Amino acid sequence: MASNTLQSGSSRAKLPVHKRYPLDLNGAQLVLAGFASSIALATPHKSINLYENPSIYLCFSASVLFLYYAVLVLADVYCYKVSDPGARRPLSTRAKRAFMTLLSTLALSVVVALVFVLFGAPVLTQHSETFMAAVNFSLLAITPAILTLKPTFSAWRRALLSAEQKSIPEKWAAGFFWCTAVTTWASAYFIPMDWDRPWQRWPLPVVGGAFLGNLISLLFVLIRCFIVPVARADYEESENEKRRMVRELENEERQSRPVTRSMAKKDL
Amino acid sequence: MGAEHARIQSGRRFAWALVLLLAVEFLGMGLFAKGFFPYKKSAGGFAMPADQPKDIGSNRTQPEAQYDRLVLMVIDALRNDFVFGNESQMAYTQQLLRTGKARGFTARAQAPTVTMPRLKALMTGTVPGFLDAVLNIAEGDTSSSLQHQDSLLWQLRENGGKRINMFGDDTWLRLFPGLFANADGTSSFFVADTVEVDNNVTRHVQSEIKQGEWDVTVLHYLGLDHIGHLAGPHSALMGPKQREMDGVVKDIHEIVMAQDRDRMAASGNARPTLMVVLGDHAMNELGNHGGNSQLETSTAFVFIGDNVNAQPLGDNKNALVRLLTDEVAQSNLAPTLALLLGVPIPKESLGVPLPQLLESVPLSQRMHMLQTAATQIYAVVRANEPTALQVSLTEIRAHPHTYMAADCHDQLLIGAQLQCLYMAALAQHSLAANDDAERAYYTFMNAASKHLSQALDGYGLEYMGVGIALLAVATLGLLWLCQHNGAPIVHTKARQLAVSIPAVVMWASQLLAEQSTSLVEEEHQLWYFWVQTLLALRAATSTGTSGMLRSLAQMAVFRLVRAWNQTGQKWAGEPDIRGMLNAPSAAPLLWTLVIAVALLVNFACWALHRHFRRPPGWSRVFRGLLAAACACALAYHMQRAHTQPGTGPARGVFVLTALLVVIGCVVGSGAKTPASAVALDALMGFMPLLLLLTRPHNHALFAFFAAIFALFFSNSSQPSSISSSSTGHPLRPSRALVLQALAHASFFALGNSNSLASVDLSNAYAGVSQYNEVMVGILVFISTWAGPVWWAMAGAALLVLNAGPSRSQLLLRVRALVAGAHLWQALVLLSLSCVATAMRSHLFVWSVFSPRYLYQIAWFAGFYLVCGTAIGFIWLAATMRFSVHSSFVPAMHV
Repeated sequence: MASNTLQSGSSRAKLPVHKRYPLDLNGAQLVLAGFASSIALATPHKSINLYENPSIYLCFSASVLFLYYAVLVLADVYCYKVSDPGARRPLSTRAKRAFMTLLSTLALSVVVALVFVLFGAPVLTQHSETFMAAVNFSLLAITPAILTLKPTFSAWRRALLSAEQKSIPEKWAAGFFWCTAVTTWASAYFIPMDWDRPWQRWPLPVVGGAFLGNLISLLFVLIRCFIVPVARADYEESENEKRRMVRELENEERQSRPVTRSMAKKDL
Repeated sequence: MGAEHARIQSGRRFAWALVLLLAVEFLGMGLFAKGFFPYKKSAGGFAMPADQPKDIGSNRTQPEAQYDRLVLMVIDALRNDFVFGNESQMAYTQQLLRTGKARGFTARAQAPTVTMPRLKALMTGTVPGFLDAVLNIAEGDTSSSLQHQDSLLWQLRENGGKRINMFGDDTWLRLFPGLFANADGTSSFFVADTVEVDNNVTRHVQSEIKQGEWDVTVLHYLGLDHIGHLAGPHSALMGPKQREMDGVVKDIHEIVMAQDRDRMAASGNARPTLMVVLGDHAMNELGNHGGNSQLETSTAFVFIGDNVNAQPLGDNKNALVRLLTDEVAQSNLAPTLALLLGVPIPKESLGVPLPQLLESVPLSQRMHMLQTAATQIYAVVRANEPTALQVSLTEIRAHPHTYMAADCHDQLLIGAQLQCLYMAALAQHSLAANDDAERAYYTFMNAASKHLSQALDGYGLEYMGVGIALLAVATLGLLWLCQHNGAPIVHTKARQLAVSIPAVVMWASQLLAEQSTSLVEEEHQLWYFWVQTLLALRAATSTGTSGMLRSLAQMAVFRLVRAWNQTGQKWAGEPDIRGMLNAPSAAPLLWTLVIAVALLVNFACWALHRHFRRPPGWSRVFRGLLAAACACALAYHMQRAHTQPGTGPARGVFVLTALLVVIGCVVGSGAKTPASAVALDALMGFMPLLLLLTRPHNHALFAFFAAIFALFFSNSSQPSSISSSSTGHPLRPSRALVLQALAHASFFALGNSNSLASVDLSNAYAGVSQYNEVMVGILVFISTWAGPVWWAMAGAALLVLNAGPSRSQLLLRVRALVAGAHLWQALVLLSLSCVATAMRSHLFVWSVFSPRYLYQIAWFAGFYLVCGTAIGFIWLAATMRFSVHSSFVPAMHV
């Protein structure tokens, strides 16, 4: 199969798997994502203090994260979208896409905030904190899915919940969603501990968990979506190569010295 | 027929194996508890005047008693702010404090904050064991008495020659049998009474204190505690009760002052009378106590007497507020009073005499007193620490400077360090009776007292070890039983876990959480979190939109449930819906809700009977009885809101509930009745009892539980299994798992916690006119476990409902669930026993793990064993004989 696609290679869909999703570019992107989340967590100014004014701080970190996605969308390089020069979208489309990403992230943040409340976030107080935590969570866990999945219920369901064989974009979306969600979920265990640390106040453990989960998912996605497929493709290619060489050798031998099968095996 | 026989055989084998394993588990738990909750063994013996040390300094005279007589006025649950706070109604006492005629402290009590251990601590100066908290409830118990242990009262009577009278809580009579010259006890457990219980004490003030003959009078008032239990510290009854108590303080103080004037005029040697007003423990913002929270342990000490020499605090409005932070240990009372009244300090006391109260004693005598106290506490140190050696006074007198110069903090062993501090203090004193020596004594005594009250020992480690081993055996056995009886843990062929991922993660995380003190205190948070997680997973993995919406609706309802009662430690005081409903202005809303729930129960019963097409005549009888029972429960609660309720309504509910369950389970289950209808009837019949035994503000929770329960059913009634996931998604939790989480969560949702403080005694006396341990115990259990009991019954109904027609299938499922539930309990018990053993030397063993273990015993023995197995088996047997079996017979004929 690999040799087939190699020969008729103009369309991207027919490229071998590691050529379709080049490791270097996407690896760079994952590193960038790590940078983005660390910049988002840095304190730019004394007035933006995580403990004293978490919602402003979280607003800042959310903007940094969104900026990162916007840059990727504007450059049209998100995830596997390697540029086919011909398929490159016009700038206006990309800008619109970035805007839509922002809107849908905010819309989903409202849902996430409601889920936070269902899981025990305060109802009557700290609305802005809960919402900003939800925005940060959505940017880290859900925006990758918004950017890679079709906006239909069934596509999301298939990518995030089914146990079927998934495509690389689906793996990408599921990896970010589940790693971040599970770590965020587990980080809630820090809230009832009696250590009386300032970072145990709502919603800081959850936000910390989301960022930590994002770092984990970067590693996980890197392995699952790039290293494993590329290794597998390399392995298949080398296997094919080996098989081809053996076949050629056999052909050569058969042509030069037509002897019994057992003899040929012994030689090999 | 052969298959039938084999099935009965295997069922019998299963039952025997289960009974055997549970017996082993029960035995293991019992042995562990025997080792873990030891009787605090006292070394025995009493301090005698002859044993008291001679002054090491120059003073040759014995210290004189500062007071002749003592009035000990214990006001149960007197929190420090009830006296010192700005909202306090105790004007006279506050006036005494402001003018310097009295001295106030905040006395820190230790957990368990219930009456009997606190009285022991106050009278002996020791730290009583946790078992006393349990014995506190068992009124018939005499093994916990202080007959053979040295105490302040014993010293006062035997060595002081005082005549002691006691009026009030009969706990004193159990602690000191035969010690009082004149006594009148009142029962401390009839919580509903807040008036009579105090009048019975106050009527002795005029007759006994004014006219009677006494040297020491102990008064113990219970009304304030009862008000706390009934309605909390902000109850409308609290102000009048504080004024009443203040009036008693005023009366006694005036009587005593007049008597003192007469006595001192008559004899030059007579000394004045000391009056102490104190609380044995305090209460939290809900009016409960037993735990270790700041509020429960902050009690008040007020010393009123001629020689207390307090600084007048002044008329400033906030002058008394600083007393809220002026902390002393409760155990300091015994040595202080012993020194002031001139009797030996109780032999095992760990307390340090309060320096503020000894200020009026002349310096040389005071130093002798301190030496006495230090010697007494050093004897306790020596009994506990082998590294502390005998100290020779002549040696110290010979070389005082050597001992004074020693740097005690270099000593590695605590015993040697305390010995060093003690000798340094004695050496200092032998040189001169001055402030330095006084400071040295206090340094030693504070260090020794701190160390001794933290040293927890007396565990029966061998019992604990055997108990843990038995528990481990039972756990392994249950594991084997699960594996071979319908609920395999591991697929042996496929070599993978057969239990779903959510179940494994939930059980593992709950077992891990038992290891953390804060997660034990906040266990409700974990269960709430897990219920929502499981429901969210069900929503995400459901096949249709309706299933998803139903699970989301369950989550929304449950979010309301968890906001109802704020419990635990960290957020215990946060506002919650209970608080809103109990505000006086919300009374109409509260009673509307209560009546609505009662109506809902009747309506649900009607709807169920219609749905199952029950015979109308029978249904009318059943519904009539149900309505009558609900009306009785309502009558009880309405009566209780204003006065002490009579026993009639509650007894009516008992009788009617028994009738309903019998009619519902036995008479009602005709040949055509589906088993689930019988199960739901039993639940309905039980509702009035649950409503009777829960507080009115919690009634609405049952409606929410019912809503969550109903949302498990879809309109299309396809038979879906309860114990296996229907859609086959690996992340989908089974209903049985969600029900388990809900049962545990509902325990906390009704306001309970893992602290003894949340045990609600107010409903335990419904329909009980006399204290009766068995009856009250059962009522306390049902009222505390009302939520889990509801879910157990509902779960059983769901189990029968989804069983389909096959009896063998149903039996297999019952087996799987019973074995699984008991495996879970055994695991919890085992892990809790291990962690309690590992943490046994930490102080939070008493505040966290001991109460948690008691609750676990109740969960295992009361809930899973009695409620789960016994009621479940009897009930299922009944339903199957009458319905499943009969539905089978025609099928077999065909």
